[in-house]
Amino acid sequence: MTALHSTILTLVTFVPLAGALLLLFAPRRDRDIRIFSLVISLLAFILSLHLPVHFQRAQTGFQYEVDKAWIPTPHIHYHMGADGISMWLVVLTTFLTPLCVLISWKSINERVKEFFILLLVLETALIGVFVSLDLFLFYFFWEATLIPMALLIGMYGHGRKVYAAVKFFLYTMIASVFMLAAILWLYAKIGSFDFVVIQTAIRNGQVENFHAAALWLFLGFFVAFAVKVPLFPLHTWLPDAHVEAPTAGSVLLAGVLLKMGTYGMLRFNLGLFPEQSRNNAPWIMVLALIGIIYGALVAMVQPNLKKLIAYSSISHLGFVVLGIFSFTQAGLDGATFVMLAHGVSTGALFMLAGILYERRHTYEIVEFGGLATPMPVYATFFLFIVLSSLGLPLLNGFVGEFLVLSGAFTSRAVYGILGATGVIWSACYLLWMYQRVFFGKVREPVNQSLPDLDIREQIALWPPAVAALVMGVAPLLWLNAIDPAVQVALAPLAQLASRVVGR
Amino acid sequence: MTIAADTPQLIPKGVEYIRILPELVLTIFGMLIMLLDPLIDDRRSQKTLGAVALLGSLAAIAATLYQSQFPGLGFWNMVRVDTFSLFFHFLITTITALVILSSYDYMAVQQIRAGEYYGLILFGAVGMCLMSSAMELVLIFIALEISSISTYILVGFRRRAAISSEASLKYFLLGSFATAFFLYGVAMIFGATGSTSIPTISQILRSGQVPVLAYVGVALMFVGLGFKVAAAPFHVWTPDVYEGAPAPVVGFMSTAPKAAAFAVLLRIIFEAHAPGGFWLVWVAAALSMTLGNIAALVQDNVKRLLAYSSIAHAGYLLVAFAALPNNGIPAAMFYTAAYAAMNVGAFAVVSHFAGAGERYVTVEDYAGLGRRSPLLAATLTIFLLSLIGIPITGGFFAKFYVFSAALQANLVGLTIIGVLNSAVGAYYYLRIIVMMYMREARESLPLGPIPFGVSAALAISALATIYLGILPGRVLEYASRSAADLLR
Amino acid sequence: MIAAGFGLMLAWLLYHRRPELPQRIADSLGGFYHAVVNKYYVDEFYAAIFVKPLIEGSSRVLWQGVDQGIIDTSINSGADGAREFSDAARHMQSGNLRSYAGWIAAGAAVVIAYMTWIGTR
Repeated sequence: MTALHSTILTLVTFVPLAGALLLLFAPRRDRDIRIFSLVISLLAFILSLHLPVHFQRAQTGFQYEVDKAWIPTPHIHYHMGADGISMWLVVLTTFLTPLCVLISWKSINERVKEFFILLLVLETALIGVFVSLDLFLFYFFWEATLIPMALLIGMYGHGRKVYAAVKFFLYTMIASVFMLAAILWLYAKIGSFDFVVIQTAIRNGQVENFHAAALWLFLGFFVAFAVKVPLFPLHTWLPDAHVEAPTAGSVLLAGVLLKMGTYGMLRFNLGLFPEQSRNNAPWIMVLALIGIIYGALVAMVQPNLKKLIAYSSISHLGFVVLGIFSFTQAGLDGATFVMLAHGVSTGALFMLAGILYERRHTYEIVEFGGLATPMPVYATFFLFIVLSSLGLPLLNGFVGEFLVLSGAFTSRAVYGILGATGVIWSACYLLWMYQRVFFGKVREPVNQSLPDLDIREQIALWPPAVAALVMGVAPLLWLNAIDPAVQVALAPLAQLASRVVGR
Repeated sequence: MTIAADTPQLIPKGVEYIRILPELVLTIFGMLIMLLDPLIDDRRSQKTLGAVALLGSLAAIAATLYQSQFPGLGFWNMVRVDTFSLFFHFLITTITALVILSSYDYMAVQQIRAGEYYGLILFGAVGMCLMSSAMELVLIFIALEISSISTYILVGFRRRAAISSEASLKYFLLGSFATAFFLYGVAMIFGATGSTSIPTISQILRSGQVPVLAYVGVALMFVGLGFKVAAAPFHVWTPDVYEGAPAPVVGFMSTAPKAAAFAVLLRIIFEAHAPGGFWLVWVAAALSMTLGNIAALVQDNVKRLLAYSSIAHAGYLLVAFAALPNNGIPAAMFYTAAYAAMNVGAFAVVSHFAGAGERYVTVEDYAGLGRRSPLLAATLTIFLLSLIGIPITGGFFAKFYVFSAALQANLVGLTIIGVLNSAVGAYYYLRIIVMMYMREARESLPLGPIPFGVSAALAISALATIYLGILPGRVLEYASRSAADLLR
Repeated sequence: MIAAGFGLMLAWLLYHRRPELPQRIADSLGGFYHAVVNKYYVDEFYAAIFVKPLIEGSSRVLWQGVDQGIIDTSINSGADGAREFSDAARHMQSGNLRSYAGWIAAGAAVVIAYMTWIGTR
């Protein structure tokens, strides 16, 4: 068991990459390639299930650790580990990828091989980001997500796909070089890239010149993460990227990539620079609130379905940032939960949008209307996911948002109140969209004969629907692991908070 | 670890010849090529002479490896074999081999019949190798001239294209101008210290007052060498010359003589303890990075784009010079190696794709290459990603080491400039990648199979780039040892 | 329960036994009846006061104004600025040999002057 224990993270991370390398040499038989990709991504998912099953809740710190010296100069270690937060993010990634494979079955017909290679490489990079405990390794995986995602958008997207891909790449890359500078500075002063080592060194005041540089280091990391989240006003790359990306790209982009930013804030900004986090929290929370409300309001007036969902992501992720910088147990618990819930529900929303696109080749809402009549099963799934996204109690969105809001309220009542309005706005735009697309008479004649979901699409949609329900009625299954990890993360922030789970 | 100093005698001992073995081997093969050229039948001359040249460069690599067992001084203490010189010897001879491989088919496509081409490459390599092991300023000058003259002629090899002759003449005139500065600098140093031998100079400059003349001498030498490495503000010749020269020659010029010139610069600044270099290097680095990157943003000609890119990379390299010697020297050495791998590879692709008369050299021409020739596009992507500095490639670690060294010396400002430049610079490399994969080709005919020479060059460069990106430790360690040797 | 029963009886009476009664009651009640039928015009009220401004505001001010107008434009102008700067830098390359030599000489002059200054300090 111990052998598996220390290698499981390596396995989970690199199985997709191994699959991608095998695909490199495979002959161009599209059907076989799709089946193979599905098998590999399912394998990764099953392997990742080992993580929550064998997770020791009582143990603080990182588990499943593996630490090997990789490069002697500079001291870079292959150091990986997972705690309650990152573990579930890994499972989210491996959960969504097979669904992406399923959803792209029919829609990708050209250069199929390259598509799945890119998808699998992207999966490895994403998992790597969440489990890296060596800053260099983290940056390595962080940058490694850029190329596959940019290529997926630029090669397989539609409309202004090249513009969107380049915008995405440059925006995020320029922001992350500031993080690189900060990482290099830390290495120059401490001599190690190891997260735990650096954290201890900072806490013990062993880093020279730290106080002068601390704010800049904080901002360096913060900027890179803020662009990824995306936090207002650095969010404008997201709508373009989402609209033009292929469905699988959007699912992973919204479902996982955005969480890289919030995870980074939690792990690095709070973990390494607690004092600066506290000092800067006010304006960050204001930006998060603006993101929540602004994102929702702009979503309301979008004529394009995908852009609407994109702006809704900005709104939802605002909740996450709000929760993180409230520095309360509930807030952070909720933030992590929203990350997972949003991944599931918005991922599903993009899948649903993609299914519609396959039939009508448009995302414009005016082109639809009354779709509940020809496509009742689809309409039901859509409604279920919409309700989960807007935070209906008993579904996953509610748990996360409630926790975040109670945390925000504790921190500052005004923030909680304003944030709560976000729930109202999201109901507005989601339900209005749903009404325009599904209810009423069928406006366009061509919509009358649209086929309902086939088996493959149903198989792709059931898992997120079930997950949304289970997460909503039994959130403890997740919070049990998240809560202790959050406690550890909050420890330096010395705020008394009752254990949410223990109550 | 002390290197045994041989007592200089009137007649060099046998072992001293081994200390210039690579240069000897290259010279012999070069002369062999010149002799064989008129004897071999015109139709077969390219292949045979090319093969002989390749053999020569491989023999030189072997000679370098053999030489590593005989570290020490030679030829009246003018030449020294140490880990530093071995590093550069290996680098330069490998570059030579790769360039010869990529020239093989280029010559046939361009219908350039001249065996001198291969001879000149080998002779140029002689000069460059000698530059890295020379311990005496006049010898450095001679080696510099040997390498320069060879490259002046090589640049003009596409005789039928006016742009090539123009480039050659420009390079010759400006290069001689710059080398004159260098020679004048040598004279100044001699005037200041009474010697042209680097160890002696080092001793004199370390102890006591440094005469003003020494400062001036260093300044003049910096001008000459700055020209050679294409550092701002001495970079103006680069775009025109790179555009005009045959593509494999550009691959050669942008890597090997630069490596040699950087080796000389490293020796002069760090081993000879040349005074006052810090702000000089700082400004040159910042200017080169910024100018190079900004000018490259609007280039449509791939060769000019890569020319400006090489100016920018010279800037990144110079950042290492501003850092503390312990970290800076290994970082600079690693950078020359990584840059050589990616640039030789990139120009190999450009040479192959350019076609007869170098028709296809604009960025638009590369549209749809991903579909037309996936292998060519994939390898070019690897090199471009390395030039951007994406992880897994050697270019990433090269920049990483340089910036780490800078931060350890508290050069925060320069690092920020460097890091921002890297990010901005990503754009023009990205344009090419986008063009290859995300745009439709104007002619959709797939390109033919890649000939052996080019494939070999591409494969080796790509593997080297990725190797340096995954396991940079060993190379860096070797470079650190060399730095230690240099600084004793 | 009694109210429910009463309502049942009333409905049976109005709609079944004497169907002409509801119309006459409605006519006599006039405006009041219309208000009730239209749910006190609550929907229209909402639409006018809340929904329409919200949509218009979000659409014009937030989306077109802020998102596209301010943020996207500033990023695009940043890119344009870089391009103009680049064009300017490019024109330093005149192709003229003597100007190149001039640049080298100028650079050399600066370098030499600087080093001399350092040397004599």
